Amino acid sequence: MRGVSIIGIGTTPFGILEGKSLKEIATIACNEAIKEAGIEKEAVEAFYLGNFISGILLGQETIAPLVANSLGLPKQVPCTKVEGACCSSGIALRQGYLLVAAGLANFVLVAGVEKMTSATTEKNTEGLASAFDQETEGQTGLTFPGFFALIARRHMHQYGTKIEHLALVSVKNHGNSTANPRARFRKKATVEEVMASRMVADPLKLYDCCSISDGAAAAVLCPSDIAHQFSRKPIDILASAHTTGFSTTYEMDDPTILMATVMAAKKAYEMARLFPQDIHVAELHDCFTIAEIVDSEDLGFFEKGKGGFAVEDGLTQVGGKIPINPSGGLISKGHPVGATGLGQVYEIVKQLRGEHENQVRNAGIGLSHNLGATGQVCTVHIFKRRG
Amino acid sequence: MNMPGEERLTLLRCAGCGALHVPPKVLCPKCGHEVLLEHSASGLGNIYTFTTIWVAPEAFKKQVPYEIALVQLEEGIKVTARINKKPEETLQIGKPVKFLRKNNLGYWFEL
Ligand SMILES: [Zn+2]
Repeated sequence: MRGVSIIGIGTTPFGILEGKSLKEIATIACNEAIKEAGIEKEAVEAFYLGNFISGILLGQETIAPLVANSLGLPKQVPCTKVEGACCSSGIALRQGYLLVAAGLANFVLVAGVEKMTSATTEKNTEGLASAFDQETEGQTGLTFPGFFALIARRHMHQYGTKIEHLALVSVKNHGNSTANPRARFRKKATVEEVMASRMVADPLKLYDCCSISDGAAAAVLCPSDIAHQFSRKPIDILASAHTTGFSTTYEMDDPTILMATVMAAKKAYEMARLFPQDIHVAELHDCFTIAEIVDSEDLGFFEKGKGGFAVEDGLTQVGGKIPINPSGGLISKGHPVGATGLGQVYEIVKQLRGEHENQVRNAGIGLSHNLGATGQVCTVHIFKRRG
Repeated sequence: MNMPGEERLTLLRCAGCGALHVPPKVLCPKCGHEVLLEHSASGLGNIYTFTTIWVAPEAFKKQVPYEIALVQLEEGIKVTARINKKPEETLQIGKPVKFLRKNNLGYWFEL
């Protein structure tokens, strides 16, 4: 296996990208990544594009070749869409990583895209709910806010997590994204505002939830031994892990633990020969405030049940023990579902290059955690800057 | 929305390892055995966790607000279900519930 590095990144802002199509935003992010890498389009040997619900929301499928043609990639390039709900572009990165690591390609373009804001909230809720098992709990009208509400109430019951802990996650992430020009929301929020926002799935309120967004993000991968020829600050991928969790809530022994995250984290730390305390900055999958708390425990940053208290103690802020989601996360940067995984990677790469608008001081090792559906899919990647 | 349906709560028991499953299952994901026998459950359980849905998918929009719970069955496994709740009733973790029916919306329980 060869080492794999990131030599170029590209993105659109996340938010309401009025008048811009799915094809257009994906092309913009990919083009930016290729230009930043300083390679010719002709050098790209494979393309993986993560996307979740463009078939349902836009009636648009077969989008990998669609975007490749829009970009002008050579026709011999194999183009593949990957889908794993909100983890789609985490998987795209993983697939590209495998190809380069195996020595089957030198330059691989990976991207993610979603166009959501042209559809209604109900249509989006329906599209997202397609990730439930439609033969079983999908029939009940369970939603993703509902799924995480079930977890939240159980977490509060088992560990004494407070409703204020959830609100504080939202307050932190809204505060973080005030500095991030790529974020959908740039305004601070208060605990009172979060608590007074309208109910979505009891006990989760609007400000506990990620925001439907448009967006695209991309990266160019190459073998680590030649990465310095293309980038002044190549970022090495120390670990790439991809796991599977339960498809239904009722089959989980304890839904306050998402096993796919626990397993992916274990594999990633082993591969990188690191421990959770070695991570300087993390972008993790805060699709809901409770998800950030659960993820921070499952990734080993805090003991199970202590995640909410860690937020209260300020441990997850920039400057804290483990800064979590300095970008604003899915809650405040936005969650264009198929683009989110690589959007997180974009933020981590900026952090490790020392170029982030909300910079974590001396960030040398970063982690990204991308989760799909009921924790059915998870990827964890660990990155390192050189020198 | 409360269409009539099955009045009995039927689970599947694996003929190989004895594990209970919520149907449908083609085979036992635990041991791989392909014979799964119908098992009549008592229909009794308690609330493991619950939520009230206020923002629903398009097809469920007219039903909001509605209650969904994970019900811990007496038999030891859980099932995701709708709860038929009277306005004066409140849900709570641990509260006993009993099976009502299964229809196009899945399983229904009541307090
Ligand atoms: Zn069995």
